[in-house]
Amino acid sequence: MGFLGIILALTGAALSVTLTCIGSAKGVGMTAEASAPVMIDDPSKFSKLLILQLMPGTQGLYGLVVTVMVMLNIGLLGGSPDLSLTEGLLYFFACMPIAIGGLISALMQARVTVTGVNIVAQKPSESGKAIVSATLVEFYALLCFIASMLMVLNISRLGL
Amino acid sequence: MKGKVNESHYAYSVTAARIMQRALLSDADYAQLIAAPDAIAALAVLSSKGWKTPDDISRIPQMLDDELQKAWDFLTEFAPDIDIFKPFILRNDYHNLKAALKCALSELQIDRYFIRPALVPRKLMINALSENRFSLLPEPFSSVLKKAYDALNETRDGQLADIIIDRAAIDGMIAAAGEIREPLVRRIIDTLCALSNIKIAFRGATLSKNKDFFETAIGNCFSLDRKSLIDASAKGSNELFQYLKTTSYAEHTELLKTSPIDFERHFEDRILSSLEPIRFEALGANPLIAFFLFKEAEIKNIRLILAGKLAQSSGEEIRRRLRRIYV
Repeated sequence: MGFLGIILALTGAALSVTLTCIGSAKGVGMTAEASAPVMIDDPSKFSKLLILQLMPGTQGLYGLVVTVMVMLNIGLLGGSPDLSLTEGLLYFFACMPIAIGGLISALMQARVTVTGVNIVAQKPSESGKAIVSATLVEFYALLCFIASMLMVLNISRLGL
Repeated sequence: MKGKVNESHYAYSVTAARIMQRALLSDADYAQLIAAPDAIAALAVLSSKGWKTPDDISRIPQMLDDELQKAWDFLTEFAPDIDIFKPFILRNDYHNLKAALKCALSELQIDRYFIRPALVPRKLMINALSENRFSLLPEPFSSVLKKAYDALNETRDGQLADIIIDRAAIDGMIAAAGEIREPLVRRIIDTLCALSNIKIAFRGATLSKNKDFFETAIGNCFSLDRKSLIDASAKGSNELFQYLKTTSYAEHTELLKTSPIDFERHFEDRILSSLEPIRFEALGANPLIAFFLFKEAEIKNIRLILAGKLAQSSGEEIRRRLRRIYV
């Protein structure tokens, strides 16, 4: 049964990093693609565009942190991994907020950052507003990350 | 069905179009052009805005075609799916078909009448006509040309040949738009075809043409019932106006009674104003469609201004005919 628990926990951890990285890769890629014509037109706008390009990339990082925390907690990175099926299931569900929320928020944020790139292309002085708008979406990715982290860190305290 | 590429694939092309859109002429630029004392001065204004202007005013049509060709080349190079834009330039091909037919049967030089961008290359069209091998052209152009050519040979009626090609243009555009999943393309092409149909119906009704004429000339479109339009037109202008009042084009009917030119301008302004909110979208095909139609309207405006200057029309008269562009 311990083996099945570990499989479930690792599935959650894997989804956490994979889904968020898919969202981030897509988001960063889309924004970078949209930025290319602006940089060809005016290379001095690179710094403003770089911030926008990086923003959908944070979700992948959040996913990785949750994955590492799960691996540490279940003893996969040192110690002897031994998990009940219930604990494995709990870890699996604990990973879901950032896995799903991270994926969706990265894709949604990419739409905002691509719009931001268009703002930079037409009115560079308004680029701050584009970054603030993208930050609003980031807030929800952060909420998912905090929720996952709190759950992962506290599962062991249940004493199952 | 064509034209449902994932909108995220448009990220690059939309931003590139946004950058090109910055170069579209503003209201202030139009005011400057209208205030220019003559066509040469207006060309100088255009030159200062980055346009490649000719030294010779006889080359103005080529300059305008070059500008639209540039916009089309941009779409061809960067749009993920060029098929969705093809219905917009189909009418150029049909115009060229008419020009080629007339030039083949007269001493006229086709270079002066051939417009770009077009799907069928100029050379191919000239070869097809000069060698009398219509099959060189892709369908449906080859069969339309053959039909118009035969009609012209049999009846010596140039108007009949024009009607056949105009009708084929309307049906061709509607059929092409029907195959595309982008609702905006279907809506705009439908409005353009409705405009063509109404213009034909109005002219025919004013000249008291018979029902056969309308059956031949009026094509299909989504927003007008073809049969009702034909029946109403055959009964005369008043019946036509009554029918139009029952359609989504009712608001323009009064204008058609007083000034067909203003009617056409209002119709096109209606299309352009519907694109106004779309130009802020960051993904998908819509901003590219808006860019191309704005560019087309800009070129139409420049053509009107320069023609007005050459004809020594007043500034007010020129301004009245300009299309509203949202930049």
